Amino acid sequence: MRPFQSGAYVAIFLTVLTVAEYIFAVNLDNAHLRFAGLTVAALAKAAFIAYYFMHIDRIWKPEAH
Amino acid sequence: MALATAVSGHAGGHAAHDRAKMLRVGLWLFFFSESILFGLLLSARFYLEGISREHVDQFLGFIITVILLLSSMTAYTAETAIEHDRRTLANWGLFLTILLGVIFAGGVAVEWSTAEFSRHQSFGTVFFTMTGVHASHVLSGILMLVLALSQSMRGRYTGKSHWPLSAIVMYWHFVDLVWVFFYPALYLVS
Repeated sequence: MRPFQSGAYVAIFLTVLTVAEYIFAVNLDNAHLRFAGLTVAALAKAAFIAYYFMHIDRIWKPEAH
Repeated sequence: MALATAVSGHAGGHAAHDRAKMLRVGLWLFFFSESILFGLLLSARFYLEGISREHVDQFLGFIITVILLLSSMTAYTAETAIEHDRRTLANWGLFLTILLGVIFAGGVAVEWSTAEFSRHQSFGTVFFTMTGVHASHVLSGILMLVLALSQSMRGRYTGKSHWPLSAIVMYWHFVDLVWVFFYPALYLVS
């Protein structure tokens, strides 16, 4: 069951990051700091999706079957 | 004879691996070309409006973003389930992904119908173009997921042979990945 659990954990992490991103953006007054924070959050989320959901590492690893 | 069969089997295995690798690299090249399109739209948004924007429904944007993230989880579940030959779970995963995708598309439609800006304004131009191009990818993803579900229900995919389903699921994750950048650019920066 581990593969299913890791997908759920990644989804929970991404959702938490999205909630944090929303709260951060709605409550912060400094536009430039907000932009920088949102950029970092988006890059982190993209990296997680590409690695855990899209299996980007399989491009350079041998195929499983 | 046995040696010849073994050698030919080994070569066949290599050919299958090479083909699988080629398909995977080809799909990523497609994602790369799509990234250029979406990247240009994103840069146009900041070129025209800087880090300012018109009023949008931030809460609606947040809700549809969470829905799209959840759809990525159900799509991942479908792919993992078929890898483990759990077809019923895979079918449910695909069905839920389609459902969440339709809800997301509905949310975008609501945003379009309630937008307080016009397409003639620069922000309106980038907003409708970015969400429109993305929504067209969502709709094509839903269409492909429906095809994958119908094939899966007929038992066409197994733990050892499921590349079409994996490719469609990866496309769906790519659509989600694009939204990860579009959502803050359209709804949160200001």
